[in-house]
Amino acid sequence: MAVIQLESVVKSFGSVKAVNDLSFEVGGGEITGFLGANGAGKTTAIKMLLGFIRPDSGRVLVKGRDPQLAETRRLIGFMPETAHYYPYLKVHELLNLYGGLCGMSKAEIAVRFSELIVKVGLTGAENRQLKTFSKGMLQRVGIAQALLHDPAVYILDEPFTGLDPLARIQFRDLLLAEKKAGKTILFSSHELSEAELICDNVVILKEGRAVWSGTTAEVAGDGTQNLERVFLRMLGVAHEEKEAL
Amino acid sequence: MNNRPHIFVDEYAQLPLLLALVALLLATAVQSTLRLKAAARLSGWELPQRSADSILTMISDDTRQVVSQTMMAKVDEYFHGGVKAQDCTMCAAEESHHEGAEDEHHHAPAPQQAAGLNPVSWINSRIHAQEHRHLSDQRSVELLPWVVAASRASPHNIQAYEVGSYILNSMSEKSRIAVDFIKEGIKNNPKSPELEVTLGEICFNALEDQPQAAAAFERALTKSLARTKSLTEEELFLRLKIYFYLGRIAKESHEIAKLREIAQRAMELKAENVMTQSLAAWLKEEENRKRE
Amino acid sequence: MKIALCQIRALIKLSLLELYRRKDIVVVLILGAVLLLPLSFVTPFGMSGAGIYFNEIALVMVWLFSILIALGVSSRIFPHEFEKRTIYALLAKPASRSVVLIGRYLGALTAAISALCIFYAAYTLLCGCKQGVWLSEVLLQAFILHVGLIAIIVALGIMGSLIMTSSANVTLTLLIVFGMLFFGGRLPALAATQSLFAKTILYTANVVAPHVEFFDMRQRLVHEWSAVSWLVCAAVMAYAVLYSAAVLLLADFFLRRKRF
Repeated sequence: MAVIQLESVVKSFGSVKAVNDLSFEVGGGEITGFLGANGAGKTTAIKMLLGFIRPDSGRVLVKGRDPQLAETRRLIGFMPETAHYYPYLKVHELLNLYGGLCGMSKAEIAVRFSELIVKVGLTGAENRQLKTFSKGMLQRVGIAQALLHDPAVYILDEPFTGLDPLARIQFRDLLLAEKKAGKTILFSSHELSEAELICDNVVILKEGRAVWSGTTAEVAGDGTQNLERVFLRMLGVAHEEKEAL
Repeated sequence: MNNRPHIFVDEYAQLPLLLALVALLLATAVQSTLRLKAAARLSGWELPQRSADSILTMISDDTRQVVSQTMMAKVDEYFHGGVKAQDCTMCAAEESHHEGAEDEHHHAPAPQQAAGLNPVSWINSRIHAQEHRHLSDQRSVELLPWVVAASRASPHNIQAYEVGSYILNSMSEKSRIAVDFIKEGIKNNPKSPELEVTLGEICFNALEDQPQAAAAFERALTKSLARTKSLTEEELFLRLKIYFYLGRIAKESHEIAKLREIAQRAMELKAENVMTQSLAAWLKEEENRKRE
Repeated sequence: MKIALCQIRALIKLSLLELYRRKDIVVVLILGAVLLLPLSFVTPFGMSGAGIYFNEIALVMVWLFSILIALGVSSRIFPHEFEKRTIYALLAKPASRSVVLIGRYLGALTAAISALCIFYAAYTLLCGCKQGVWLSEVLLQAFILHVGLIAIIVALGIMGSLIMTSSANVTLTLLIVFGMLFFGGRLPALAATQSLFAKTILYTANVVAPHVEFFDMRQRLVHEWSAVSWLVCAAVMAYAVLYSAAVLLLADFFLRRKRF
């Protein structure tokens, strides 16, 4: 059964059609890469999945439920693109805040906190205020707060931005481990190489519409293709032109 | 990371806060000026318009004068227990209440006619005291900080020196300090006969120093004569007061000729005035005494 | 309901931590001390015993600083959330916008009230040392009514921050607050003497604008008048609660329509 469903979704902002008849599904226990050029409609689609905005038409469902409902968002762990958090809080205070908003008890938050701090590599930085953190560290904080309440679905917006190579490897391993645990992951990224390494499925957006969706096996095809070529082909940029650039 | 130094209020709010504070000061000044103008109309004195070499000096002088008079308004407010004149439910009905009133007494508040059925007025009348009350002499020192502030804000605020010396002399019984304060006022306002009169009154009544009192009244007379050719009601009253005291001093030193001259001058100003009549009575008394 | 309370509690803690870690209140206390301490040694004409002026100036500063803190805290909550995009992580959690609004409001209110407690404690200490007058019924009433005023200001700050820029919000709110403080009590009387158009405007302002002057007990406190009836205090606090609720309802409407 599809965990994330978008069916003929349309969303306009004035005269601009940000999402134009977008349809795709993400199955349970899969990692799906959500790709597209700037302005393709990825962020708008994610906002609709999180209930920030309502589609003009079509259906958006997460585990069969409307994401506008607060209870539906309990199933979702979201990592925003820009890693900005409250600068005067410390990590444990921030996680206490988000855990409280998820209805977790102090004991539950404490247990999860000690696990996540190790998982995301923030050991030793727990008692520093977030305003002293580097961009990469804030990205790790973002991962931790998304995973905090152990949701069934992760929606990650540009999760690899700002991470150093070691952190990327660790994060990739983390996502694969979460997938093994049965979590459903949808992430948008410009890092095609990362998407190719860990995704089960890929959806490519252009002008608010899904122009290609399939498994990464389908991407590889006869072995002459890679995700970058498929991506450029879908966006209408010939590979030879790209090499010339 | 944002390494800018932390400021007290973030940059969004600084400019509008400054604007709001300026607006607040303006509102206070406007409100005070309106109140003072109303009070001025009642008591007959005008905000002084000082001539100056430049517009900037004129503006700053007038600003200081407004600030000074705002502080004098505080003195009045403090004397009445924080109740402003326009809020006092008793004051409008009983204006003469001030005359001969005992200190720090209370009156039962007038029926809440002003409040009526208006809920805003009803609540305001209960939250903000509106009864009539005077500060006792023992606590008159509470008025002095504002008097000092008023005189410092504008050394040309004659009322500040007059009121301050009254408080010091009559309420706090510190006549020597009152004299020093008035002398400071005279130094800052050399053309003011009012301050000389006040000095003379303190010297005569409290210190019983007739020579100094006489000198002060003589100076007051000179300044009054030099000040204006046409007499307003206030100027007339001031001159009569000067003559009254000079006449009294002349009477006590039995200088009949001087007393006659003073009485004559007072008669020319206003024969029916009670002070003129007192002078006439003293003259008659001295003449009878001399005959005897 | 229990979860909503848990969520609100988490948001309240956020505002408190932010206020104290930003150290605004420390700056304000230092400023107050620098201004007040020299004043406390004033002896006009060498005569001691004058204390009312000090009480009044101290209380004016308490009012000014508490209003600035309340407005400063409330007016930057949502603009900062939108600007720094922390609103996304917040609203992605299973908390409705209304809960977020109430939580942030109560957080800002708690922060402002805690600052107010410190100011009143400092005021009581300073004036007690100078005049020997410590706690009194009037002081308690003044504090309680001041809390009501802060509730209204925080609500206005939050509502304003959702519909205009931060600077416009702060300016407008301060103008309304101080305008009503000076002239609010005279609005009905003024309206009665005006033409129909002006009368309508003034009566509307009389109803819509917050009657800040209801909460001003400074005159009674400074000049040692007796306390007001507790029934009147309750009526004024009820007004504060109702007015704040109305403003928050409006804020909720604007927040729900906000597009991110």
